[in-house]
Amino acid sequence: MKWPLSRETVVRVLLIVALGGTLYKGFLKTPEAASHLTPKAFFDGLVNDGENTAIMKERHRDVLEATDKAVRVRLDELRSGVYKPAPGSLVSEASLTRAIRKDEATRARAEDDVLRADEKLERARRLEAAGWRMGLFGCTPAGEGRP
Amino acid sequence: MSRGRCSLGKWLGLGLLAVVLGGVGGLVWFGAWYYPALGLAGIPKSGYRQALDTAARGMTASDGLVFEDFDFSKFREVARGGEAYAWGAARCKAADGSTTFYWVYLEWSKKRGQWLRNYSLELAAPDDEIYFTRLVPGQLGRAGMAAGKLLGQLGSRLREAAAGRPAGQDRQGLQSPGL
Repeated sequence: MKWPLSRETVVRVLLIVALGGTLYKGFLKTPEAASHLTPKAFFDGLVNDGENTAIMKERHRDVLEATDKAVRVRLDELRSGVYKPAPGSLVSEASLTRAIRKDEATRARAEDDVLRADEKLERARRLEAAGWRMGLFGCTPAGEGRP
Repeated sequence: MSRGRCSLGKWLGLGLLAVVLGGVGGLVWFGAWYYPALGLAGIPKSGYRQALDTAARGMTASDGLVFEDFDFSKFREVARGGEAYAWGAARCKAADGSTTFYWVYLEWSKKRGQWLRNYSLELAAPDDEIYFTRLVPGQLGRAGMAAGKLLGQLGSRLREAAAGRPAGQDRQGLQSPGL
């Protein structure tokens, strides 16, 4: 190789180094590498993700419950004459009754999401307690470590 | 002559671009940085009740509602990672005497070390999607209501920011009891 290096060679080498670095960093993020090389950070991330998801799903259920209450109170007050919708408003006895049913349907799904998120968090904790590591050659049959 | 016109047009274009960019930047700054933190600086993570109270009073007052109390409020934090969340439904009275519930949601910002306002709004408001059917309102009506809701929220936040400064200082330590 001629010295000094041509500009193209330098750029080429830098590109290859950057590519190699990207590949290496990506490799460290895979469960295969992370669960073996940095298990603490790996499980911290897994549990943290589970905790945040569980909190989010609980909040999504709560906002639907609060909406249900708000709609019911509005319907009561519409019937008793305390609440008077503006002319042309979408709010009516029919639309409020429909809103209660709609909210019920959405809430059924939100309740499921809460259960699923709790299971996900529990699973992350269980895997950590069992000292689980990602299998390097195919998955274990159950897909989970057993304590 | 023609060169002069051309450069005038260029300057006008640049000026217009600057105004548009400044407007967008201002909106982003207000909505993502300034408003969420308004009046909540200095409240520790454990002071979520005070943060919820301050936020709820400010938000509801700028919508012309009288804050009564929280119907419920919650605080959740993760054991690992440092994220924390607080949310609740504030019970308010509207001007016509009807009851209105307002959803208040705060997130703890690790970066800024303080509580920040997040997705918060009046529940079951007259322009809520929950009253929509498949055909009513139509596409244009929906777009209009969505735009109206966004602009209404922006207006309400700007009013809160304008009113919040002095009022927020008076309210220090004036928490509603029974939270």
